[in-house]
Amino acid sequence: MNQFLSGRLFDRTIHFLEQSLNLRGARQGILANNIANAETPDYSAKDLPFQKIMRQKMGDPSTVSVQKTHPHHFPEPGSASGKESGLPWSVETDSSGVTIDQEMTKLAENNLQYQSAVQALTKKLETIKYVISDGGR
Amino acid sequence: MDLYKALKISGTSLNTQRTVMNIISTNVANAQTTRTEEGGPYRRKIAVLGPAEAPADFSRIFAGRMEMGLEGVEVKEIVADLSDLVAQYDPQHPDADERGYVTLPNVNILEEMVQLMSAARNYEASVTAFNSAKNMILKALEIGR
Repeated sequence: MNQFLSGRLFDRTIHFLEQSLNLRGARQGILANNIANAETPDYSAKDLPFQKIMRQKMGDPSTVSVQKTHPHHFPEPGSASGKESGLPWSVETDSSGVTIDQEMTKLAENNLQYQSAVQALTKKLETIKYVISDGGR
Repeated sequence: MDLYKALKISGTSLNTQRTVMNIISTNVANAQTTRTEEGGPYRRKIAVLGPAEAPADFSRIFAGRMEMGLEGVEVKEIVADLSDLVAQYDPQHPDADERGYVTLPNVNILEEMVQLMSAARNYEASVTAFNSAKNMILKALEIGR
């Protein structure tokens, strides 16, 4: 996709909604894994810090981050970069085991947030479609 | 990590909880068994659960590393409960000893029922997680329609 199209037609909103869907999908897997391991001894619940990751992706000015431009650069202090944990995002581990009610709540919330992101994306695309087909009339 | 992975993880949980329920059913069915192949009365079986590991195949191991071993759950082993067996006075029983006592299995029906309910609830929770992921996939198909 060239710069014109990606810059004007498909703006930041669509890009962020896409990121959001990716994250929600990954979080669903992590929550499903927590529920599956509810009875496993010594298992600790995992989660994706959704807001933190999105804030990084959206370039929130309140969290200034340093870009690593060389593999031998030191990581930013206090940040568990995705490279070490395997996932492209850092995953938080709660050492207190799995609370099934909490996991089910998170699951329902994640599902609804996913659906609303899909809804927003659909509306956004509808708007573009409308402009393309009816804008010149 | 995609949504199909979430379905797979919930699937491992359904499979595991079903195995756990089978083991509990075996315990209840054998609550009065005094003769087994190994000799002696039946001993209660316990399922030990643990996080499932990715099968040992290069691409799967690599994928497992990438997703930090989120592979769901599995029954690691089935062990016999070595707690004391129950002695009951029943001189007419063919397996009674010279003092008239029969050694019965260490199965407590009430305890088994509680375990069964716990497994059934876990099963339901995983069904909910499965349906949730399924709804998300169906919803994603509506993008751009």
